[in-house]
Amino acid sequence: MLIVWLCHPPAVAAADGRQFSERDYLADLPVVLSATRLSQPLSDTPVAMTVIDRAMIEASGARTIPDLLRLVPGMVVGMQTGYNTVASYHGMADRAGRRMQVLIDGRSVYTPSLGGVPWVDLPLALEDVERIEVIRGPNAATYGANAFLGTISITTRHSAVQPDEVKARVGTHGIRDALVRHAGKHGSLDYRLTAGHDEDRGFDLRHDTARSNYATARGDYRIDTYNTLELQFGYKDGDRQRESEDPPWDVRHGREIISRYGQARWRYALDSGNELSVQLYHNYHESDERYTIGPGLPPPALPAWQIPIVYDVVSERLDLELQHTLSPTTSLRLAWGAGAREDRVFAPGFFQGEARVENDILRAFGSAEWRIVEPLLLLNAGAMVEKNDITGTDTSPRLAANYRLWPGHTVRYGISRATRNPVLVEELGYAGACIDPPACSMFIPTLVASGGLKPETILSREIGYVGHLAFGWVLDMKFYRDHIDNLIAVTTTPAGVEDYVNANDALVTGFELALDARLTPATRAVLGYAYADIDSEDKLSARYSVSMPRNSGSLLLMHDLSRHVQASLAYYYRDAMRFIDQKALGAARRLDLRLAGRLPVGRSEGEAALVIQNALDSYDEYYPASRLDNQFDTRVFVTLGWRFY
Amino acid sequence: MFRERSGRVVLRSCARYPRAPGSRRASWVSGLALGGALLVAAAAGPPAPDREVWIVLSENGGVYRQVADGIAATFAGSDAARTTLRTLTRDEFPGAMAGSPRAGLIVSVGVDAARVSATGQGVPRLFTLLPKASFDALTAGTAGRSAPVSAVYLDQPPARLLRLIRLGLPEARRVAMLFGPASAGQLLDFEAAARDQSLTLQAVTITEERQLFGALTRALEGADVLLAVPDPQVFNRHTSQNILLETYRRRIPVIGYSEAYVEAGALLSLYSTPEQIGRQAGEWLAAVGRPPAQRLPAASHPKYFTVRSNRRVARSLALELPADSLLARRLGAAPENMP
Repeated sequence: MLIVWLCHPPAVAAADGRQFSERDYLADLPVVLSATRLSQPLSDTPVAMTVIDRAMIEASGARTIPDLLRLVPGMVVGMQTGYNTVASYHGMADRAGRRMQVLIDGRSVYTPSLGGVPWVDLPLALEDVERIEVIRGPNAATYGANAFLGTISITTRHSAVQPDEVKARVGTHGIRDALVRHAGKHGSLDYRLTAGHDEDRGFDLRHDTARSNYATARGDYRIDTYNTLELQFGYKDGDRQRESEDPPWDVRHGREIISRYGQARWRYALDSGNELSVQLYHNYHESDERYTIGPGLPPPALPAWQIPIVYDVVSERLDLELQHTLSPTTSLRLAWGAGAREDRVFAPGFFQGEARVENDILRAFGSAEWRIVEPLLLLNAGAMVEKNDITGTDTSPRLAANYRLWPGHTVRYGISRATRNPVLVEELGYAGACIDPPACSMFIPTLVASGGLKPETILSREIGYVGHLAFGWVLDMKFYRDHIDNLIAVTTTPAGVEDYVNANDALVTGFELALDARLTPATRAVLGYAYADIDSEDKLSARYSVSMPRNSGSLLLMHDLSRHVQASLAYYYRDAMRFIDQKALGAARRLDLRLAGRLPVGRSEGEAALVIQNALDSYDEYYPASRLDNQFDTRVFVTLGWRFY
Repeated sequence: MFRERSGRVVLRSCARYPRAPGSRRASWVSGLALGGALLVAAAAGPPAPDREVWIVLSENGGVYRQVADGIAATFAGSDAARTTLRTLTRDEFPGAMAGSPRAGLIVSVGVDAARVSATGQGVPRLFTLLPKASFDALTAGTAGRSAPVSAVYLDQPPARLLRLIRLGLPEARRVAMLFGPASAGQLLDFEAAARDQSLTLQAVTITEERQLFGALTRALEGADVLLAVPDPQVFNRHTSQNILLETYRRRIPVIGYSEAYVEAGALLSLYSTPEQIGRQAGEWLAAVGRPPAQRLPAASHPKYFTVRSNRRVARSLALELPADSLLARRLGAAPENMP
């Protein structure tokens, strides 16, 4: 006779085994890493890309997003005042920096009125940022209007993965920052509430103190397995000291800002390859700036002695977008969609006589990612068609082929065309001053836009290489040749009235390199280098040819001294250059140092960090040494924080 | 038709767990168990003609029906096919049992069905589509009762999961794991299996869901991969979002336990489909012959399994994975699957 014994191990899980069942294995789960949430690997992108991740954000010691952008090869960053920073890929920037698209969670934040991005006015805590992707080249098909020289796409952290946190920062130059965040969960809703205060006195010899208070909220609501709703709100107010930048109208005054937004996105993700999303957002930005210029100022024949200057600007943007991502086959991924936008500006000081100016934009876009020969050849194609009130209909196509030479080594050839539509002030601006308000019988214009501008166009070609080398090192190189036509520049009539005209073409050629290297398990180095040559006739004194340094680079070195202590340094270098509306700046180098320690206590963690910004000699930001003294000297600050998990 | 055999073979199949689930000895033992069961069936002689196999479903339809269909499809092609298969739901079972106790073998599908079929004491029972922990809890203290009890678990053996990591992510060495009250019993098995595969386990055990985020942070520090095992307090539909977002942020791939997990964003999942569970149960039924079965093969992890990857996640993490079918084949050749 045969006896088979069946015996049973002790029922270790018996206590909770009653609730535990096959349902725990077979449950439906929401698609978390959906098609639009997954970032493309560098080897698949149609355009060169730099990713600034959370570790880099912390290790850099940066207080602001433009400071982080110094880590991007080819990015020109200049502090025009202590708080107003211009960042532009491949230069060509004046104090506005108009040729980049900037998105925060898909919400476009470049200003429709004057162009550029009011970085300091954005209701956004750097502590809530998950990563910053910088697309180094035109890509309107994916990132929409104004993705001209490049795109900065900021992704904030999902509210489900954030701890409660309090944080305070104190330092030289009047640095006083504070932040408090609460993140929680209520049923299927994950939310976070962040509030903060930022303050500093800017440059020592300038009238540029800035103070801001802000609050942001984000809710991620899971309706069911397939549907999620993401809601975001933000508010910021602040005051900034101002001084007139062109002598002799040297008047110190102030500016008050209010900035707010609301954003809703509904996603229907059927699986990781198929997703439908609808996004609606509204941005509101108000800047109040009024002052008076007094007697003794030219022209000397003025009958009155007090001339009020009103630079109030209210900009609003309402945008609706629908996007559908799908994978009909494993080798083909498609994304298409359409959007409508209304940009509205109320700025009597810039559009004299018109209470409100508007620009309506309709757009349709589509892109395809086709793995023709997996895993060797990938084709990326896309286009955006945009119709706006100023220049009519424009098309921005791009095409790129990524070829894998052998595992881990990919070469890319890409060609892309994009347009930049004039911002409202360039097309419709009409500014000046009434000498005898309120009658205004004598209006002296300073800006009269004649209109009829054509969009700026760029045709960009690049050859890139992405290598995933041994030890997890990633090397990214790009050679490029960009033809830019119809660059808009300021022309001044003999009477001193400004106007915007399509004046210049430029040919930009160069090379860029980025290396992300894990030197040891505890040490990571991120290196960036850019060489650029801009060829332009530089008509109307718009010195495009020197608007970008010939050589520039950065090195971020992060080292874990122990499990809880990290040291990092960031070194930045650039050759001489000049911003479009300014005189030449000399070469500059800067060294930032950071030492940070963490102290876990139960389910919480304290953190202290010491940051020294520019441990080297001071250098000039934006302006060469002049009346406006933007010398960036050593700044030191200490951050203390506590996180609760 | 059958050759009569005499002799006495004692198979202590309890040697298989919890000590060394993936060892060669265990597979040898389980092979013998199945062979033994065949012989037992042969020794049982002509069965009573009217005994039936009852398949008790936790719910009518869905995955439970798929298991039943899998059993029926496999069973239909076998010698034992003359036996009547009767499928009933867990609600119908007590009445049916009281009215016409003709069940010669009860096959339960799911934990709820397993629980009600416990009233069918005295009838051999084969539990399917349930976690090993549930089986252990249900059968605790019943060892040595007359009617045999066995199971085809839903969980994959630790050795198979860790072997998948070695095959799919050859450079990974440190494996993060999170356990909760329901899964903590597997920790030792996983540690032993990790040692066999030269992997280091970074395991953190929690007792309630609110500890999850801190535990996840600790487990992920320096880890190369996160291996998820089901536990209502750890990996569930509410936490999958946090876990997948946090691991993705750290660029740490996740090995999941279901098709849904891989769609949600895990890099790979290793799991057995309801059809595969049904197929194995059907093969066992065919092997033990017509009920009432005197003996059943030892309770074990599923023989058939599926490997599925998320190629989009793999690409995003810049990982080059072998084809799913190749991974499954190479896992199939792993020691614990040899007959």
